[in-house]
Amino acid sequence: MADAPGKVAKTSRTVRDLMLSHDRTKPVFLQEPGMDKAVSAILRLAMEVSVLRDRLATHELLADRSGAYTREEVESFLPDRDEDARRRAWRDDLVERLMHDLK
Amino acid sequence: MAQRLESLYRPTHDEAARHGFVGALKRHVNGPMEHTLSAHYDALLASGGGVEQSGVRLQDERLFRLWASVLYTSQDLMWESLGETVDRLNPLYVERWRDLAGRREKLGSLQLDPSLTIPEPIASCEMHRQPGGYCHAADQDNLTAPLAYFSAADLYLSAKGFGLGQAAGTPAMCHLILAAARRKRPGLAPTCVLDMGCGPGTETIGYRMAFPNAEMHGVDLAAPFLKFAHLWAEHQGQAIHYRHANAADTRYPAGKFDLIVSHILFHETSGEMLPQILREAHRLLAPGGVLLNADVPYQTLTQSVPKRITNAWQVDHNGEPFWIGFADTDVRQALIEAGFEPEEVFAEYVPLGSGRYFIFGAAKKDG
Ligand SMILES: C[S@@+](CC[C@H](N)C(=O)[O-])C[C@H]1O[C@@H](n2cnc3c(N)ncnc32)[C@H](O)[C@@H]1O
Repeated sequence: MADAPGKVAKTSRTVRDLMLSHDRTKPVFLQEPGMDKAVSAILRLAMEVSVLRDRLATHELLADRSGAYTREEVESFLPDRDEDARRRAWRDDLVERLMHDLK
Repeated sequence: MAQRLESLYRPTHDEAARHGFVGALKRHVNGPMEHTLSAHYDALLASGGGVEQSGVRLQDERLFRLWASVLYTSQDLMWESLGETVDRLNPLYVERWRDLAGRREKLGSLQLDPSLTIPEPIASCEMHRQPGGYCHAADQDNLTAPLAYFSAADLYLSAKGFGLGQAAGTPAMCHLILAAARRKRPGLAPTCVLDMGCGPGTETIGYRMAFPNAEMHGVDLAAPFLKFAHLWAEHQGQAIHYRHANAADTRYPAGKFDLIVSHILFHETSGEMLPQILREAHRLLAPGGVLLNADVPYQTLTQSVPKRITNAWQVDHNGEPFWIGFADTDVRQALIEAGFEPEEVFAEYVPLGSGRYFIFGAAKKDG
């Protein structure tokens, strides 16, 4: 049996599934059409940018400490086929989540 | 040896970075954005708007709408990013839970009651819009609800200025409550302690550690929370007895406890339930015992108009159905009606973080 909208789900579901369910659609607060969705999408992007900055900062710090590689090597880096596929998958996932915000 | 349960809760690098961003976003919404709303309200009032009209106009301002839109999304991003960690870790905790359930020797205990009637709002409301609510998948081996609550607690409170900046799961608020209890009863040395609405039990452990010789009990309506609490306590070597029960009807014998505490229980319960819980606490206290509750400091009469407006918005849109009801309750009167002597009743604010917190309770007359 499906759980009623707005009610607590009885069946085990992941937080991700629960979040994507229709009963959690954001209400309209801003008067410009679609603006609430844009706010969500922008904040999500900001969050991911912030994650990236943190991650890069970690890498640069560790590289610096260990002398593992230099900035120039980063600039001239080319991903191999596997790495390229991983990056594509990640981008696809981001686009999917973004489109969920904008829907 | 298996990894310690506390260290199982470890967000990955990017999860931690997301949680960090959400914290920053929430601090901004609750801090600078709310301050600007207040200033806006003052300006409306100064221009001769009148209290009521200025409040109405404030809610129509684009800034207010933007505050609402961003706050709503910050809550979604909070649950989503914590959810990532929770979904990843839930199977590991469930495995530990199954190990424990099959173990014979335990320090404490857990009594679950599948037939317990769960009252509103806990039965069907997603409190704070926590996905699935407190009782999600209550009859299954699933610890999503307590893990989500547990990971959000410090992030959420810190962003409101109440946080103590501790690692998730570290007892924190119990110290504030114990300090208040010791002011009421210097030399307090209870023999039997009850934590009402103990949730995932992270604070309950703090009381147990403060009074290692006392018998420690916790009650809550949410079975998933109690499973987690039991697991958490056993793994930390703390003997705590958890019971699945309504705090208004615990089935413990009268006079069993000499200290009863609660933390943010009352603002999550209905106006009908509150007096019943206080009456039950009065029944459960031994003569000379103390009842101490800590909760949000949003009592309506002490709040500015813009704060009342933003609080009302939280009730309508952020899963806080009884916030205002609690804030409007005269808890002193309610304690007296529950049987406590007027001179033994107290309700006061204590400093906490960048703000203050609300403490109320009573001592039960000796003999
Ligand atoms: C906000 S949580 C606080 C949990 C814990 N005290 C803490 O500080 O982390 C409120 C808790 O009260 C519980 N609760 C609400 N109404 C209750 C009642 N009538 N009897 C027992 N527990 C109740 C909820 O299930 C929830 O776990």
